[in-house]
Amino acid sequence: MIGLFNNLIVLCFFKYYNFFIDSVQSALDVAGVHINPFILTIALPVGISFYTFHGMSYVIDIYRGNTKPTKSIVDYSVFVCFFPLLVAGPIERATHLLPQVSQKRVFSFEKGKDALKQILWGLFKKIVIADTCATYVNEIFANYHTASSSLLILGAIYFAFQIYCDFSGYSDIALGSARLLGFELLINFRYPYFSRDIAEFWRRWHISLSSWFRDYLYFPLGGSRVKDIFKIRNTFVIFLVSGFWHGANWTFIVWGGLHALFYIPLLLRKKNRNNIDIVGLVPSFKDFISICLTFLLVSLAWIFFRAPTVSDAYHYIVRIFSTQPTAIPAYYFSILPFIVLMFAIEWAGKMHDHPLHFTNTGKVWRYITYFVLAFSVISHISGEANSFIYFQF
Amino acid sequence: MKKFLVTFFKLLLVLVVLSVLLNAIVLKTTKPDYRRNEIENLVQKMDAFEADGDSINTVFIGTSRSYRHISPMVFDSITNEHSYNMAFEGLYPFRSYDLINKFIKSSPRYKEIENVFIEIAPLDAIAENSNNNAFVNSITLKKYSIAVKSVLSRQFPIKNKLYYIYYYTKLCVYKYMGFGLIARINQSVGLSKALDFKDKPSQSYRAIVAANEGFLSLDDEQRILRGNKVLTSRKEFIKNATGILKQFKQQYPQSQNQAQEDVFDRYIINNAKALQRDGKKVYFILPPRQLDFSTKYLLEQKAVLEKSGFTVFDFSDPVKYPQFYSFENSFDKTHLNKKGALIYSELLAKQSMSIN
Repeated sequence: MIGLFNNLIVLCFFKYYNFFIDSVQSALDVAGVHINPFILTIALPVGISFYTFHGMSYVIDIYRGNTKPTKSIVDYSVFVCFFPLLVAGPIERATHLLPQVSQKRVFSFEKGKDALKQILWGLFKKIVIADTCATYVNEIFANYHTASSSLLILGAIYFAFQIYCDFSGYSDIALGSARLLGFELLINFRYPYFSRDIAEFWRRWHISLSSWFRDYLYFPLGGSRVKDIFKIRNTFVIFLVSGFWHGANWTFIVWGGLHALFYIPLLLRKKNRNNIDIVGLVPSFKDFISICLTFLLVSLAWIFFRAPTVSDAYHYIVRIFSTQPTAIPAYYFSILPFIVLMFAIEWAGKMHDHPLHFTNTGKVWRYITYFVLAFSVISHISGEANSFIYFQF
Repeated sequence: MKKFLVTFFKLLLVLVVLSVLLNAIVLKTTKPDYRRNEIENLVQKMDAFEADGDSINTVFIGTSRSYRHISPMVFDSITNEHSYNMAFEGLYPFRSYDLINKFIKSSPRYKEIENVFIEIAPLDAIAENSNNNAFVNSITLKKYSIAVKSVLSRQFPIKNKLYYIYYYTKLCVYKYMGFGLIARINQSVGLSKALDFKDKPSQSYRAIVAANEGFLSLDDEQRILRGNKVLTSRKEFIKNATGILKQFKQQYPQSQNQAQEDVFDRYIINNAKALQRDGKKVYFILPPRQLDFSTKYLLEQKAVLEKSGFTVFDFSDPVKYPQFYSFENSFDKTHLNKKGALIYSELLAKQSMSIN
């Protein structure tokens, strides 16, 4: 309890203090009571949400008997602060990473090659897709009150691409960097936008976080082996806490709540484990429609994730349905060839941990692909640095 | 590990060679749009210059030491010319001459211009500019060669020489490896955003520079465009103003070596003579508040330019011009405030009148 408390108090103090104070102040203002609380003006330590969860999983796994406490402070420090995953995950488990820290590692040429490919793939997603989409998304969301419905829809879709490529790109770079050093980290993304339903999406998106909540919160609450009313409660708890984990803002809570609403019907109808294997190379018409619908639902929820306030997100969505579509300026489509390339490569490589793990492709085509990706990265590196979205968490 | 590193560096070499080749093809087949690759506020100044209702016969070109210091309205009130301040932050020599050759000379106003005042400034080497598109697009192999030869021939501290070479090499690597190339490709196929300057900050900026013929003091920028938020450079200057101003006086060279023309001086002279061949009178200005070792080098350049027959208005000496090194007339370490700028403009105008 002390271990958990230590980690949580640090997280709550740095991340949530101002949010709670603001919320209490707003509620009291409505009741006619005005207070002037002390507001913290200190910087949020980078990656706090990630390494506090490392610490908590270590304590819980020891308590459950899943792992023994390590006697080496150095090994423990490496586990908690391993630099590739320090600032944006994946959230590692002591049972997975600690044994690797304590054992001897030998450099492998094949793993080194694979690591570089994964790093290249991560760089392509981050620098080419995520950063370019970010400029359009920022413009559209900043001016949503005058944008047409077509532009707003494009903004939501581009944000879906931005956050996926930003976060999974970082994960790929982290996994590749760790593999160069002889570590195998938990895979964090398994092509989530090819999901046929929300349940599958959550098995493929930010896997380390969703599995952490599943193992340390959902299962202790009873999971899905309880009455329906408790299943609903547990699902809401998980998704709301997951939303809250992302940030001290009501938008993240609404985002989590929306996903809970999308998930619960599948859970109650026992259809949440329908799509375990990834969709085939040539999807059926039904699968294709399911993928598109799932993507639309996820993109709708992303609007709340991106908007600065719930009110902005609400008005953004209202405008999508209440304004006339207009022609979208051509420059917004300059990134499309790269997005198509990304999805084509991911579709072809979705059976593997990362899509550049080519096995059946000729050497010439492989090297052409690597060159195209590398040159795309070089040509997109501009004077402005864009940080990773999940650094703020 | 050895096999991995050898393979890695071989692949990196192939990537570099192919990138340079592909980049060369793109650079050759696409025409850069000078305006599109320049800093947006400078583009606004270009637009305001062309839209100005009156005839313009004098232009000032240079860095922020001209942009923030020369008021055309004060200058014109004394000289009866009609001038425009086309200087801008960071418009160091290569980019200053790009502005002249790629914009002013092709502007319909060029034929009206009679006088061109160009600031003598050191070669740019500000770290933040090394991956700025405007600076990257400006560099060419010829300019790189000029910069490196000039730096090597001058008596700069070794640390600064190495930094200059690193900086210009970085600019070249950025350009010829293809960094940021996508912007150029998008421009050439019509997939880049048009500059419309419809947002409020751009409109505010346009209004103020148009009203002041291109001049904008840092006080006015702070007050009007930044809502009175004190600029960082001002805060830092106030912390140690006395020490900073004293340092300028201590560092000013008391004597200098006989100036030898170098390849960079030749570049400036060639550009100036091209303007003269077009019938323009060319003057140079050496403003006050130069940094560190630059002053000695710029004084040598001044001597070379004077030897070549050009007039140079030199305001750099703290003993002759103490008003440009006083706290009352200063905004930050390298800039005068509005009061100082108006005094400077007046003095420049009077000196200009005295030689004509």
